[in-house]
Amino acid sequence: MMDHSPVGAARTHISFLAGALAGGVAAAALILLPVAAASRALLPGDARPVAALLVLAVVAVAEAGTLALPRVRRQARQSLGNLSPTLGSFMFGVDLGSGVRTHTSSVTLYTALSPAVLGAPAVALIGLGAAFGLVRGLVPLDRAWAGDPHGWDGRLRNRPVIPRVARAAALACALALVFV
Amino acid sequence: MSSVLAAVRRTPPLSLPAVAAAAGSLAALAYPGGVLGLALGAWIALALSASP
Repeated sequence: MMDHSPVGAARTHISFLAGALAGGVAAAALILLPVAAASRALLPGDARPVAALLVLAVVAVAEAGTLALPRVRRQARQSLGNLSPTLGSFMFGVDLGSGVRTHTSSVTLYTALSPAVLGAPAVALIGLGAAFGLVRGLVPLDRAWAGDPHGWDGRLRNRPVIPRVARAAALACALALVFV
Repeated sequence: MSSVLAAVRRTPPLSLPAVAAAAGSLAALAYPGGVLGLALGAWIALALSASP
């Protein structure tokens, strides 16, 4: 799928990143906005922070391994290889950036439901989706640009602190959103 | 572009997305209402990507 000439590689990388951004925004629009609308319609204002904290408590229990939440186990679609490098990269970015179309290895994704249950404004939820998609898209590019993908994998495996810090930071941000 | 690539090659894995997430968090300290959602999205993505 990747074109390895410098111009082609830059084009596929930009397409991939744009797709990841679009995927994150689409997932926020299709999942988080309806959850927020339902929460505002069904829950009184003072019950929403309690519900948001309950979501985070469930995620924390699932992170500890004592509760299993559903996870996406699909791999990337093989049919994307039949598309042009630019379109294939874009569509792969959409799948990865949406967070719900390809394999996810952590239940931290459910943390995104907390601000939605809280009834956060649409712009904040779309921003959340955009930031998710953008950073999700940056990871494979960081790996590709490192010039030594297998070494990159090994160095990441040797630093288990990275996912721990990221999970803790996500939880802290979600908690701050409830109390700010 | 080449200077960005050279900088990335000298840094540990995930530094580029981690810098983006950390920048979002720092901005959230100054303007929590508007930027906390961005920081949350960035950290969730990093957690998913870094988990084995």
